Amino acid sequence: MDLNPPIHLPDFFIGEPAPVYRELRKNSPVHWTDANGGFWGITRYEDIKWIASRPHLFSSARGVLMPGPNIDTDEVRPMLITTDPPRHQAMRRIISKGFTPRHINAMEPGIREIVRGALDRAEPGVELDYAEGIVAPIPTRIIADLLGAPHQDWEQFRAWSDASVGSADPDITLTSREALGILTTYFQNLIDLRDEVRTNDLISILMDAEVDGERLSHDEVMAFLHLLLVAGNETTRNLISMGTLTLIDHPDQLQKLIDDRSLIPSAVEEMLRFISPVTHMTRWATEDVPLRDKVIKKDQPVVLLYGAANRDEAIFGDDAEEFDITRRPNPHLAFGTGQHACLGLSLARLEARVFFEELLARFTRIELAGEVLRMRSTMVPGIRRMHVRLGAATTRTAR
Amino acid sequence: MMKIVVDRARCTGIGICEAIAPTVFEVDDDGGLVLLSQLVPHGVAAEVAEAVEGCPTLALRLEP
Repeated sequence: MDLNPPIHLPDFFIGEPAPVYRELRKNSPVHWTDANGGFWGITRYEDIKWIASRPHLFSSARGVLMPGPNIDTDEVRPMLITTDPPRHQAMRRIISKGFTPRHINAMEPGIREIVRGALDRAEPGVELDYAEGIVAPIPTRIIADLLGAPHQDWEQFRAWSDASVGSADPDITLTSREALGILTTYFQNLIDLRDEVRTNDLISILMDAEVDGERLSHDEVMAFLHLLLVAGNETTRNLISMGTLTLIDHPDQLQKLIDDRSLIPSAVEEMLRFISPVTHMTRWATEDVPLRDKVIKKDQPVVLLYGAANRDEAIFGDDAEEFDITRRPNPHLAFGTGQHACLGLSLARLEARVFFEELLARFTRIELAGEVLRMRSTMVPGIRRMHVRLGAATTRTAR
Repeated sequence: MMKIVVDRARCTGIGICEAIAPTVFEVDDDGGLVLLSQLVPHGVAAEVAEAVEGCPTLALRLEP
């Protein structure tokens, strides 16, 4: 095996990382790479859980992206995701009440309407850009709605959000810094409107929120909004697009799902595990920490490779690398773990479930119709374009 | 019968437990976790065990 797999490059993540992950889990589970100033790559499930549940040893405050040429670790924005305890807990409570299963479930009718509207664009037998034309607008609309952004701004939102995470992608002309600037101005306008009249959206909740008797700072509110937009957008979009691609690649599993749509929630869990839409989060050691046969030194970055953990044979068995929509139990780490576990996980699950329910109610033939163009990103290496032909069930012959 | 214990200092009120075992766990409007039953009810032991195991903040445990 290549002793220095390029786990710092987008091409690694949009290629075939699974064989490398397997080797690393087996032979170098706590793996040092010199790239981009040097960092540790962690690939075993158990180790990732151990690290993620010890925020006092492994801080998020210096950023959660893996070290890279465009990553500035000296100037990290004060986001929920980059906040350590005890402040993290207090900040998280403010917002988590908007994301409980009950609140999220109440969104189901609205989400179904958005999904139906998106699927209305697909005509049977006609090739279309599924990733860009159908899937991509859905999570943006839902999260923009949650934030309280007017509907006419939805498409702009998506472009800015793309640019703010996909700076390695040559198709995107805005730099991530420029996109952030635009988003900040945009959010400022929404805040100014609410200075006069509060509404009951997340922006208003954040403006009124207090931690230890103090309002959140302006930068904190801004960072919160940006985080929610980005986190709720790319990730779910990729789960759905890549989930569809995975079903196309596994026709037996697709057929099983068509035959029994009650398997959709379990299929969504398996997509989360198999795809791991967010490849990693990073922590920084606050002191020297021995782990297996290595010592992680104070101030070194530690990259938790969720995709590797989610194929760990020690947890998922000999068929860990198989895609099995009936897998149970399925304790994957696709949403991370520990106190920074994804806040929006109930929303993501609901969006994906409703999407596949509506998709398979209309179409039971799903075929690729061209090349798949991936997003060049180390953290969210999703799908930019994927041409697909959808067909109704009526002409399907017995198998 | 096993008792359900919540570590309030760890719970972030995200409600993963509620999604798994809604008859036992409920997150209220202030983001606080409410136990609808202090003891593990008959018939849902597997769900409660899964919720305890699945809590990302390790805020839940079972005690005899």
